[in-house]
Amino acid sequence: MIDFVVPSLGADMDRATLVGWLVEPGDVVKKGQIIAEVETEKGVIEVECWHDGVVEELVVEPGPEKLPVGALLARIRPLEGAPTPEPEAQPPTQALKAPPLRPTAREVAPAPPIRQLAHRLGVDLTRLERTGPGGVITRDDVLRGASALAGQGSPAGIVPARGRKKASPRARWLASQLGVDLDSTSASGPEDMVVAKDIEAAPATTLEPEDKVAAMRRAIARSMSHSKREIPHYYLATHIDLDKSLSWLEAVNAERSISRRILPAALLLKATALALREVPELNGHWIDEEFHRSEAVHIGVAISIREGGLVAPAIHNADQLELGEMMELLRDLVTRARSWRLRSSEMSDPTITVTNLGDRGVETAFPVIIPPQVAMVGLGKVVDAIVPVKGSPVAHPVIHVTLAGDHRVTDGHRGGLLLSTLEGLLQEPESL
Amino acid sequence: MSETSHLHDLLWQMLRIRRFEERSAQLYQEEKIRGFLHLYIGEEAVAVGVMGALEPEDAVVATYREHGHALARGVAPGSVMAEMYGKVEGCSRGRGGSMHLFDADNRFYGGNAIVGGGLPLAVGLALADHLSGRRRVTAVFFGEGAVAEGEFHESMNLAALWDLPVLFCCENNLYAMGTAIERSESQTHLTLKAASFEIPAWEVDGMDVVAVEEAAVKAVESVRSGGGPHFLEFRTYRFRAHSMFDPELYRSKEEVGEWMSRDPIELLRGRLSAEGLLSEDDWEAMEEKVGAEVDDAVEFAEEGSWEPVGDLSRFVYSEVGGQ
Amino acid sequence: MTLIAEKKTITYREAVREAMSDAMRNDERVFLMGEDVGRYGGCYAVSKGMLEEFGPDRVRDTPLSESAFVGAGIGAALGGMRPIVEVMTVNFSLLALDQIVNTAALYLHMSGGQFNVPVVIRMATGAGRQLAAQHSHSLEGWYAHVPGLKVVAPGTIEDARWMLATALDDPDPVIIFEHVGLYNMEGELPENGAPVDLAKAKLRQSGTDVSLITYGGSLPKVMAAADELTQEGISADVLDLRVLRPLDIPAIIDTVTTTHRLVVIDEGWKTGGLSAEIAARVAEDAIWELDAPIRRVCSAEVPVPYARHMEQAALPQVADIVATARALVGR
Repeated sequence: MIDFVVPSLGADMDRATLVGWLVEPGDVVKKGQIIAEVETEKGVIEVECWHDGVVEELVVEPGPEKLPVGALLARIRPLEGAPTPEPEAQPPTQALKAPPLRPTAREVAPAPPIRQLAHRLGVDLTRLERTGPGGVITRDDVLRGASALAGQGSPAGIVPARGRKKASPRARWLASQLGVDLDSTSASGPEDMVVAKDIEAAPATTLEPEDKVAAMRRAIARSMSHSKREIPHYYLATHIDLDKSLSWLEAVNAERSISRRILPAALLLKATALALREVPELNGHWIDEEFHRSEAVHIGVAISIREGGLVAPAIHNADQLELGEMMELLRDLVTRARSWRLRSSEMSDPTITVTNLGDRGVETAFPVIIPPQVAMVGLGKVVDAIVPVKGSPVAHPVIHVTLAGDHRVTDGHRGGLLLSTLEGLLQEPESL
Repeated sequence: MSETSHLHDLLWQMLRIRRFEERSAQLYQEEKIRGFLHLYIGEEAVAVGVMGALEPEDAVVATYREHGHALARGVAPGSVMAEMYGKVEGCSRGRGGSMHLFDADNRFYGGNAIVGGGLPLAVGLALADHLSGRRRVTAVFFGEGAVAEGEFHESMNLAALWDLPVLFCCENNLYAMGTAIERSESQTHLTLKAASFEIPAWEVDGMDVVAVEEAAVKAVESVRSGGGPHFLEFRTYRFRAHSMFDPELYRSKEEVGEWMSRDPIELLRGRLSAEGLLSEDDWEAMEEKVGAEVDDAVEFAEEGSWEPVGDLSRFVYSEVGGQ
Repeated sequence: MTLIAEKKTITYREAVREAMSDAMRNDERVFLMGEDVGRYGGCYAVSKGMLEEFGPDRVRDTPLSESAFVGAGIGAALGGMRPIVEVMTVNFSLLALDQIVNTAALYLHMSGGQFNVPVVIRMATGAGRQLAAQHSHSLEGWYAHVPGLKVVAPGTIEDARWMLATALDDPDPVIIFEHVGLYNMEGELPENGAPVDLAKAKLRQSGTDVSLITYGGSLPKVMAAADELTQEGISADVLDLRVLRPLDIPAIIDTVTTTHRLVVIDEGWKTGGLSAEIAARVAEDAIWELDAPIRRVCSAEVPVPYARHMEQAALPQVADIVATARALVGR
């Protein structure tokens, strides 16, 4: 049986009314014969049938009802031997990628100011009640969450919803990074706006006598507690013979001016970055119960700041940098970190962190992973050790390297691969 | 090719366009083909007759009612159908649809949805040939509606002024969508307009494929041998509406009936039958051959694939050096 | 004019003429077409002398038919030539907008990659000579809006000399905007020049306090403003966009990341203009770098008037740029 339906007659036509039939049940019809009239916004249009056959049943009577395109109008029994059409295959809808089953933090609170606010107030976005349209978190949701925490000793002041202090985006970001209270910072920018240098020069807040470093320590305390509470750490350690690397570096540096000498730290960072390519599960972030692998390798470098502060800003795309470039960036990063001039992208982008405590005389480090990262590499000091070389004892410079891994994402086998790859790379320093 | 077999060939070419267009209409109503669909039914003699006079190295520029021109020029029916389905195997990768058929191999420079938009383009193609000393002709098809556009006059003037090898083919089907020519042109004798640019021009019965071909051959020869641009006005008629969504409030059923009695396919078929040059069996065979070709084209389109969405920004700029 | 391999003083106009002549001498597919380019020597005397050297076939005067001759240029490019179509000014290009936007920009994509259009269209643009509203538009932003086109604005003599060669080599349509105020500009052309890229913006001056982003005819004004600011102890980055489509976004982000303050200078109108695009990109990609609101110095939202003082009031001036930058830095 052939279905005779309301045809599509135009790109912008989606319905029509049946005005009249030109045939009755039992009539023989031929392909191309006009058998009905439909009315659209443009007027009455004749509709032909596309098959030879006999009208079996007129399903719809003429009337004012608006029928959608594709609605059944009549049934036609094809003549003997005439083929019935195949059911139409649905063209694949080119829909956008389906949204993930569980929204990530970015999805429930897409607006950066709201995420910043939550971060500043120590509010967990994924645990908030959401009252915005489409399940989005609003400012008020965050503030309500923050006041719920207030009884639990939440940090620096709640920002009022109205009468916000005028501050540039950069100033706001710096303030949140450094734990400076915006409201009590004096403004030197045009139109009474707080600008970056005001934050950088900000004195103690009025709430508690503290300085930038103390605020930073509070943030670190929160982060490290969270890390030890939530992240199941495992630790692996190894020592790596640096004889080949350091000899090679010495030769390279002999041809460079003092100011452009490459330090072992840069070599170790580059090697780590390259090793990460072999074990990408150590390079990324744990967000909302799942691991998000990062294509790019942005190594966070732990840098101590005088008076006890600590930051770990990123060297972007560390695996693609020339050693000379890496050294320059490292130098620049350390300088800027110690003068509080880091960029927002450097703070938020690390996909893994390396902490080098060799200068402090530490032989082996057991680092604590910085969430939302999933690993951290610890470098100890370089010591001379006796190693067998072709059966004879020789003194070589050796470094203890440790890996802290998030056991939710990796296990010792994968972690171990990083260390062995790192070792291999450092035996062929020319390839770095 | 003998005279008879050549006439058979002309008949067959018109028939394949006709059946292709009819099937396209059905597929459009079934929503396989979307957007706009402009059928060439009734006008087949013009495309078939003119293409017969062109060489493969000549160029063709057409309008949005260009399925017939594409088929007559040699673009594969499967390629055209797949394009209308929006499949990547279509001649334009599914990017253009019914109105934007392109085929570099056949020097078919599109399908254009801007009325008159192809005229300056044709002038340019002819200019390139003129500057390079090539003896190629550029045939540009347009409706009588395009004659109202400034671009028509500018292009005719430029072609005549610079003596360019353009064959202007005006398909006068009396209606620009819903507007009859008398309501659009102060002077409805279009050949007079051409004359005002000093371009040789003549009117042709567009329902008679033999007359069309004769006129085209003569004009093309003149253009190719340095005679400058020529203008042919083909008196023709579209049996169906402007597009699928058109209740045809602007013309009477009687008028349509009168023109349908001069169906170009029936005219040639009748003549050939009367002269004993086309038997019933010959005709059956032709229908069958055409039917199979159309079926194959539809099957090709049905089985085609969709261009990956990730390719969306391909061909905004050239990927290799281009030409 | 023979090119000698040492620095010489040359005008912007002469640089464009040299670029075209050079191209035509080296490639017989290249020809120039437009109104009054031949006998008249070019409305702005850019093509003076070229008819004598290359003849009327290759330096082709056209009737007043913008749509037809721009379309013909597109057709000729499709047919294997490398035409330079000169539209006298951007004001008249509106008559050819259909051919540029509906043919040149679309053909490659719409034909599924079959037909690229290697046409170069040069247009004079801008105001400042009391030619009144219909002759004073800056519509670079409109063209930069359309995918499929490449749009460039040479603001220096070097770019005027060397952007054309790269444009002619490009397989896709390139529109070159020459600000009328620049034609008389004189300067030194560096020796041993070579075709320049049509991809990167260029830092014309380095600074740390504020970024001044601009292009084309506004560049000299911005450089002058930067000088004044230096006197006041404010050091500016001056970024010459050079290419308006596709924009060199990394360069824009880079300068904002350095100075944290941005002023965009554009002779087009502010509303929905190219300056709006730059501001939006910076807000999208570098919001945390901004230590101040983004400011734009554009033409006033009026048709450009005839009377001198009124026209000057309508257009961006050095004083406006200096004042805006100064206020942003907070002095």
